[in-house]
Amino acid sequence: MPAQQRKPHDASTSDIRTSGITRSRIMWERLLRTVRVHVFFGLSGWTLAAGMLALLVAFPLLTIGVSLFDPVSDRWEHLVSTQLSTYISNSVILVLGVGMFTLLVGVSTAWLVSACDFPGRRFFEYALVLPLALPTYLVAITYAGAFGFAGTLYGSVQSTFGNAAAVAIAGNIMSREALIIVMGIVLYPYVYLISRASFMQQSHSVLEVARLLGRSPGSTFLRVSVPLARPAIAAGLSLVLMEVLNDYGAAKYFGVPTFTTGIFRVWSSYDSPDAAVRLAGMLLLLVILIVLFERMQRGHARYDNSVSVFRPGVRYRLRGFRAAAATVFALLVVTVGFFFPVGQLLYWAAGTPAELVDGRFLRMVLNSFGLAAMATVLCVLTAVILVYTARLHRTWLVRTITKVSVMGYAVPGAVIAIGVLLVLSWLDSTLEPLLRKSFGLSIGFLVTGSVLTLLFAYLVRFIAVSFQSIESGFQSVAERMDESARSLGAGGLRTLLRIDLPLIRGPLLAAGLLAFVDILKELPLTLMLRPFNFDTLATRAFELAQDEMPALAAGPALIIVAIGLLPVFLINSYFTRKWHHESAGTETSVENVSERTSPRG
Amino acid sequence: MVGESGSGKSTLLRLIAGFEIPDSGEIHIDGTAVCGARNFVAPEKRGVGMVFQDGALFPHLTVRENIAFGLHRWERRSRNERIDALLELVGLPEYGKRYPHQLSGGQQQRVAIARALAPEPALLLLDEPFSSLDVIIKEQMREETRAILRRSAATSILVTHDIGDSIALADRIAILRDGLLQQIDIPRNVYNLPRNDYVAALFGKTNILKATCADGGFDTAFGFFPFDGVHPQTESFRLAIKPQDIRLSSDLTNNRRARIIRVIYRGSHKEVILVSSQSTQRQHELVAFVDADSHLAEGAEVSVDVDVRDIRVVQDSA
Repeated sequence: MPAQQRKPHDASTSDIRTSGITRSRIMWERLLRTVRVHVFFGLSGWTLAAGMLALLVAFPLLTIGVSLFDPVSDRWEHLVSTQLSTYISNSVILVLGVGMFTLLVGVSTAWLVSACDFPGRRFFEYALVLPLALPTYLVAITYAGAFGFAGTLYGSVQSTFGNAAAVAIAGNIMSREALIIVMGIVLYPYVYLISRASFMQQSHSVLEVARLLGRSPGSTFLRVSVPLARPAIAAGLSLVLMEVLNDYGAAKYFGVPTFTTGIFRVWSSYDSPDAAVRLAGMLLLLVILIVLFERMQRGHARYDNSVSVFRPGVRYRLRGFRAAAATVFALLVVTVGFFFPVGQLLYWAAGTPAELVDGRFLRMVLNSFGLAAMATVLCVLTAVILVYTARLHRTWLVRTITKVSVMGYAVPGAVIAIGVLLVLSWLDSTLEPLLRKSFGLSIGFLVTGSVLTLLFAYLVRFIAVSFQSIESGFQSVAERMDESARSLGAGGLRTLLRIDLPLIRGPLLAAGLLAFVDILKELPLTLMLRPFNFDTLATRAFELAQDEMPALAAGPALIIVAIGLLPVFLINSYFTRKWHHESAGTETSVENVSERTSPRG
Repeated sequence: MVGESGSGKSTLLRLIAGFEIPDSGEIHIDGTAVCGARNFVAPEKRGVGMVFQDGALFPHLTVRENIAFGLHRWERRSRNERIDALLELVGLPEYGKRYPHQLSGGQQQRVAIARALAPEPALLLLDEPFSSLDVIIKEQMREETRAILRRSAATSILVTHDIGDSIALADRIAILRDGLLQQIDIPRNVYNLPRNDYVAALFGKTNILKATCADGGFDTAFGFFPFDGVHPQTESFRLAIKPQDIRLSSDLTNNRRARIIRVIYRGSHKEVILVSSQSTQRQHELVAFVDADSHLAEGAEVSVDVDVRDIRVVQDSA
C-alpha cells in the first residue's frame, strides 16, 4: 500500500524535474539559435550597423549613469545644501500641476468631440490639436508680453477691471502657477489625441448597456468610458510629463528654477561638471519613474481589445445651455492655447520694421532649416537601418538593440546635452593628443562645439520620432513581399530599396516631417550645444525675449509656428485613420457613420 | 504536400526557401547542400522560386515589372523576351502594363507563378496557392496551374490542406502530420493503399476498425470479415472501410450484426450510424452511406457486408 501511495508522488516530482530540464534546454537552444541566426544570416552588415548605431545613441545616457558613481565634489554638496530642494519641489509641483490640468482639459475635450454633438464640433475636433504646433517657451513669452507690466494688454485690463486687477495680473503672470497653466494649455493635446482615439474605439454596445442599466451620460463617461480608456490616457499623460521635464525655455523665462534650468545654470557657471551630471542623473530617475508608471497602467490595456467589432456610437445631442457651454469651453481652450498666442505674435510681427529681415535673419533661417534637414536625414536613415535590421533578424539581440536606441525620446534635452558633452569631450581629449603625436596635427577640439555635436544630440533625442512612424510603416508591408523579393534573387539592400522603401513612402515622409519640426522647435539642446555665434530660429527668439525684446522674437517665432502646423494635421489624421483601420477596415468615415445612425432625422 | 494547419508543411517550404534555419539536419537541392551544419545559402542565392498564398505581388510595380524583378541580371533583350513568353504561358499577354490591384484574384495568382518561374528556378514552391480564391474559380485555377507547371516543366512542391488539390495536381503526394511524414507515394497508391488510419481518413469519412488476425480474415466488434490479402505482421493495425462500401441488409444474411442508432438524411444519400450488437461503446460505431430512398429504421438490427477488395489494412498511427 505505501508503495502504491508513493507512486503518483514520484511521478509528479520527476515531472517537475524534467520540466526544469526542458526549460533550461529550451533557453539554451534559443541562445544557440540566436548565435546561429547571426552567424548564418550575417553578422551581416545590417546587424553590425544597427548595433553600432544603437551603441552610439545609448552612449551618452550610459555615460551619465556611470558618472554618478564618481566621488562627490564640494560643488555638489553646496548645491544640495542650497538649491536642490527648490529644484525638486518646483519640478514635482510642475509635473503634478500640469498633469492634473492636461488630464482635465484633455480628457474632457476628447469626450466632448467623440461622444457628443454640439455646434462647431467638427471644427473643434481639428482645432483642439492646434496648440501642439506651439513650443511652450513661445507661449510663455506671449502671455508675459501681453499681461506683464507695459504689456500689450496691460492698458486694456487696467481700463476694464481697474488698476488693482491689472497690477495683480501683471505681478503674477510670471509665477509657478501661471507656468502650470501655460504648459498645460500647450501640452493637453497629447492627452486629447490619444484619449479621443481610445473613446472612438470603445465598443458602442458596452456604452449602450451602461445606459440601458440606467446610467446618465455623465455617469457612463466616468464609470465606463474613462476606465476603459485609462491605459491610453496614461500614455498621453506620460508624454505630457516628459515634455514638462524637458522644458527649459518657459521655466527659465518665468524665472521658476527647475531641474532643467538648474542643469544649465550649474553647467555654465561652475567649473566642475559633476554637479550638472548628478542633476541630470536625478532628472533621469524622475523620467524612469514616469515611464514605469505608464507601463503599469498599460498592463491593463488588454481588455481594451476584447471587443472585436467596433461600431461608432450615437453621439449625445447637446441642446440649449449644455450645447452653448460645450462650444464656449472648447473655444476657450483653443483660444488660450493657440489663437491668443498666435494673435499676439502676429501683432508684434506687424509692428516690426521690415529692415529686420536682413542678412543675419536669413542666415539664421538657413542655419535652422539646414541643421534640421541634416539631422532629419540622419534620424530617418538610422531609423530605417534599425527597423529593417529588426525585420531581417527577429532575435532578442536585435530587439534589445532597437529598444535601447529609442530611449532618447523620454530623456530631457538638457540630460542628453550633458551626456553628449561628456562623451565628446572625452573623445576629443583622447583624439587630440593622438592626432598631434601621429600626424603632427594640432587642430584643437575637433568635435565639441561644432555642428557635429548638435547633429549627434538631435539624433539621440529624436530618433524615436522617426523610428515609430517607420516601424508602423514597415508593419503594413507584408513579410511575404520581402520573402518574394529574396526568392527572386534580390539581396537585403535591393529588397529594401526596390520593395520596402517605395511601399512606405508615406510613413517615410511623415517620419521626416515629424523629426524636422521637432528639431526646428528644439531649444534646450540647441542652447547648450550650439557652436559659438550660431543662431537658430528657436535660440534667437528665446534670446530676444530674454533681452526684453519679445516683439522682435515674433518673426522667428512665427516661422517656427508655421512649420510646426504642418505635422499637426498629419498627426490628427493619423489618429483618425488608425481608428478606421482597426475598426473592420471599412472606408466609411466616422462622421458619415455617426450621422447615418444618429436619431436626428 | 498535404497536411492540416499546424502540421509543419509551410515551415518545410520556408526551410527549403531559406527563410527559416533548421535546428538540425541538412537540406540538399539537386545534390547541393544549401543548409547543413557548416553552410547556409541565403534565400536569394538558392535559385528557389516561391508563390505565396495571396500571390504577394509588389503592389507598386506593374505586371511586367513584377515579372522582371527576378531578371535584373539578364540582358534587356532576353529579359523582354522572357517576360513575353511568361505572360503567354500564363495566358495574360495583354496585361503587362496593369497594376496588381487591377487584376482578379486568379489573374494575380497566375502572375505570381510567372514571376516565380521567370529566373528559371531549380525548384518552385507553392504555398497554398488556391486557398485565397473563391470556390468557383478555384477549380479552374487548379487546372490552369497544372497546365502551366506541365508546360514549364519546373520541379514544384505545392503545399495544400486540400487532398483534392494534390490528387488533381501531383505526381507524388507527401502527407505530413505534426511534422512527421505519414506517407509519400503516387496519388493512386495514397488513395488505394493508405499506410495508416490518418491517411485513410484524409479522403473523407472512413471507418477505422480495431481488428485481430484470424484464419482467412479478421475478427472485429462487428464479427468476422474474410480477407484474402497479406495479413499484417504487427498487432498495431486497423481496418479502413469507406462508408459507401458498406452494404446493409435487414434480411440478416450473415453473422456480422449491427444495430442502427441514427439515420441522417443527407440529400444524395442517408448516413447510417451503427453500433455492434455485442457492444454499445462509442468506439465501436460504424458509419455507412445508403440510398436516400432506402427504408432503414433507427433501432433495427441489420447485417453488415463489405466486399473483400474494399477493406484496407492500415497501420495505427495513434
